[in-house]
Amino acid sequence: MRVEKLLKRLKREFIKVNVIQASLDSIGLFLTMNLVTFLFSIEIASGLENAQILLAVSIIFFIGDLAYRTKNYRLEIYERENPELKEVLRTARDNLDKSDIASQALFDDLMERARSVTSDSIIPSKTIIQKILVVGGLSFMTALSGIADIQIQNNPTEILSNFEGLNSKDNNTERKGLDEIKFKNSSRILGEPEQINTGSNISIKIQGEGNKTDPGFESYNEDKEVAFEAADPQMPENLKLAREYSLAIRDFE
Amino acid sequence: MKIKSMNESKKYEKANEKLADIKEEVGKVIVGQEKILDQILVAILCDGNILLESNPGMGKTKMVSTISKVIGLDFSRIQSTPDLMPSDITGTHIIDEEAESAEFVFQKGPIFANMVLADEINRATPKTQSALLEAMQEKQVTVGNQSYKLENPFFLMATQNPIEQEGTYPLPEAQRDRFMMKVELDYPSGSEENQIVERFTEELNFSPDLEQVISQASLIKLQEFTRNVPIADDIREHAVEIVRETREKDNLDYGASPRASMNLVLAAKAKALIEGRSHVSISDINAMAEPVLRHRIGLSFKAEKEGKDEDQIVQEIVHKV
Repeated sequence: MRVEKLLKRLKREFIKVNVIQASLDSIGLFLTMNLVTFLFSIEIASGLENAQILLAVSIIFFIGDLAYRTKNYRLEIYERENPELKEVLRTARDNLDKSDIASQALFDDLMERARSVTSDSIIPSKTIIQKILVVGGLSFMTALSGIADIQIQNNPTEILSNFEGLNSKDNNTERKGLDEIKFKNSSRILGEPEQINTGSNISIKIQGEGNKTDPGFESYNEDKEVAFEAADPQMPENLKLAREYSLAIRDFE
Repeated sequence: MKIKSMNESKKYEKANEKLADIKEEVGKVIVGQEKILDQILVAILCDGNILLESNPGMGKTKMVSTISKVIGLDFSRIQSTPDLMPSDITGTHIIDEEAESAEFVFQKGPIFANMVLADEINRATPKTQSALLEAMQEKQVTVGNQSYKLENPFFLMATQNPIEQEGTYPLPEAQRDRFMMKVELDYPSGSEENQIVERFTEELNFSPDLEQVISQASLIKLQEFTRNVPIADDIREHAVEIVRETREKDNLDYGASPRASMNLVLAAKAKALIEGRSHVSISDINAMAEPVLRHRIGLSFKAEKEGKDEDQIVQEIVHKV
């Protein structure tokens, strides 16, 4: 019974050590991914904050990492770090069901030797310190990039345009890509297309205010009616062509 | 619960102390040979038999008789010769003339003792050798159609002379396999031999007072203890792996039987008990591999040509595994 408790305690200690390791790993992963997405302005998924996705990924990684580490649990880890327990722990584990004198002597012997055994002996201090330093470095870089607003590129189209013409073989493909982007943005830039009657007049009223004392006031102090023709009535063929072109663009969208 | 457990631990420690006392008492007569003494004790604790190979005049009989005195066992010695008959060992039916009507009664042979030394066993004919088989394995002898149980504990130590092979009948593999261990007794060191000469030449009959350390009942208890010494699964697997490897080895014509696996683990348990450890270690298995396996393997022509012996092959296997 006492030995069972001891073996459980040793496993708990092992899990504790691995929770620390898995936490550091997942924090490091989160900070790295966060820094990369910020620097390159990567949007992982539309409609969700990057931080939410990264947090979810890090939690999944933490669970997986911890499960993997716990799966690899073996008593030999303690035996390796505590030579006085060599072979005794394994023997006790394999003979837990026995209650004869020899087994009791073994259990007593084990309890005596295991008194000084704690998780300290199996902590990989060097690795943990290295991981803490990495996490610290990543935190510092994250804070620094936020303060200085260091971003390698803001718009992916600009990145594409920077590469335009670098490779003559791919030139057509790049160009096609840019054209597509322009077409897609045409409505936003030009506004929704509308039917207009050619040959009609568009009236624009321009009004201004000012003091008579202002220099040059007189030359502009009268209302003027300016009329523009929507298109040249003399060029019906051109207008028709323009209209068809506009409608074709609209259909293309 | 804890008090009970502590008492049981004390019992185990007491068993270790008893074994140390046995060695100390035997040391009053026998000089050196600690390793051999340990191996004999291992065989006694495992309820096994020993095949002892040594040159004449090495004190085999003295050692066995001394051990039997210290552990309170009856001792008898059989000198094997080509004309030795099975009935000379097992005993025979004789007419009891003192009885009212002449009756056949069984006259027990020298095998009816707790410790039997069968000297130069390879000088006995195969028929006589095989008479020992039943005694070693079944702990009983059959005379006519009647079986007789041997004393408990029963321990047989057979000796062989490694030099003189003329006119001998080498033990067949089946019989060799029934010996738990083959112990090779080497010459003592110079200082040890000097001490032996001093000890046995200053008195006409050197026989110091030996104390009987344990009773027969205690010895049987110790044999039960030995079987209970805990062993880890992977250490037991290591022992089995060593024995299995003897069947795969190129340099061997034949390997050891599963009985060898059992004896190896058992011998390792006894060694752990003698050394005061509460569990079997890999080192116990490796240490007992040679005496347990050396007589159970057959060297191939290639190995003999290379000048290798059984011990070297066993060591190679132990290192490999």
